[in-house]
Amino acid sequence: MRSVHIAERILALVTTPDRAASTVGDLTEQSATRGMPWFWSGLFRTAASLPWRDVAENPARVTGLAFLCLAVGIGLDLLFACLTGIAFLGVALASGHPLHVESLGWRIWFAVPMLVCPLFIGWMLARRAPGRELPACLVYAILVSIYNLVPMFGNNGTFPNTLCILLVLAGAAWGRSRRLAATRRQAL
Amino acid sequence: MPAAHSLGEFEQVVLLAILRLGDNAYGVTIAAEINTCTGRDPAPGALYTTLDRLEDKGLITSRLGDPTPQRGGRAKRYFALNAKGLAAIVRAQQSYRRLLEGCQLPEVTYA
Repeated sequence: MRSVHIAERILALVTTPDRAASTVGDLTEQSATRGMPWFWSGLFRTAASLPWRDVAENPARVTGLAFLCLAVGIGLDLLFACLTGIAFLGVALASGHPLHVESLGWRIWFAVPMLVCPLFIGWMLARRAPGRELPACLVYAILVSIYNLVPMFGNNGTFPNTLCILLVLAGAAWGRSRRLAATRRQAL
Repeated sequence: MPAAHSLGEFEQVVLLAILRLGDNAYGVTIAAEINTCTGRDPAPGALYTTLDRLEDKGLITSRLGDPTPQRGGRAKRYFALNAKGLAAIVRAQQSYRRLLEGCQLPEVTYA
């Protein structure tokens, strides 16, 4: 059944693939008597409770990892700011003209780190919290949202927070798929 | 008893259900056994997070069985108590028993 495959993929986001398969198998077996609404309700309740279990049981570890990733993000921002300063100076000296920061080249220059840094942070979260990527991403997203409320330091709306978090999730998904592929290769 | 080995009430229920079921303890049978013995219908989320937690604590072990057609070809994950889990449940039940000593509860008798 296609819907059951989708259910398995949803659950595999929050637990290991073999656990997701056995849990979906249990729910499938019970759905024969309880019906499909119960199956989906059980699936979503399980998917919702598993990430928070990790956060509740290892709050220091998960929060520490989120702080580490935030520090890495700030470090990368500072590095990019330094590189931008050097690039500005270099271009200004070489051309002898005032800079046009609205030009396509500079727009790409500013956009690339905004896209690459969250992806890298997501990948880093996946590397450091194998099998628990989603809880780590959730805590990181909460931390970044709080950080962005700080007027002097946070993102002041130039790059939507939601898009940044989606990119972190994409990076984590990429890191997770690479890890699972490596595990499969080792098993073969 | 060290705090690391303390068991919650639902953890004890799950461990005892696994103990009762022996070699046939997997998600569906554990939920059914809890329902039969306690009248509770455990939510899947609560059951699977508890099983995960007990495994993380090293109190139970799990192994994958063979895939079956009524489960869409998915394998059952069988759970079993290990020595540490058995010791934990014995300690928890002894604690309850000590607390109950001298108490007069209607319709409760200890063998």
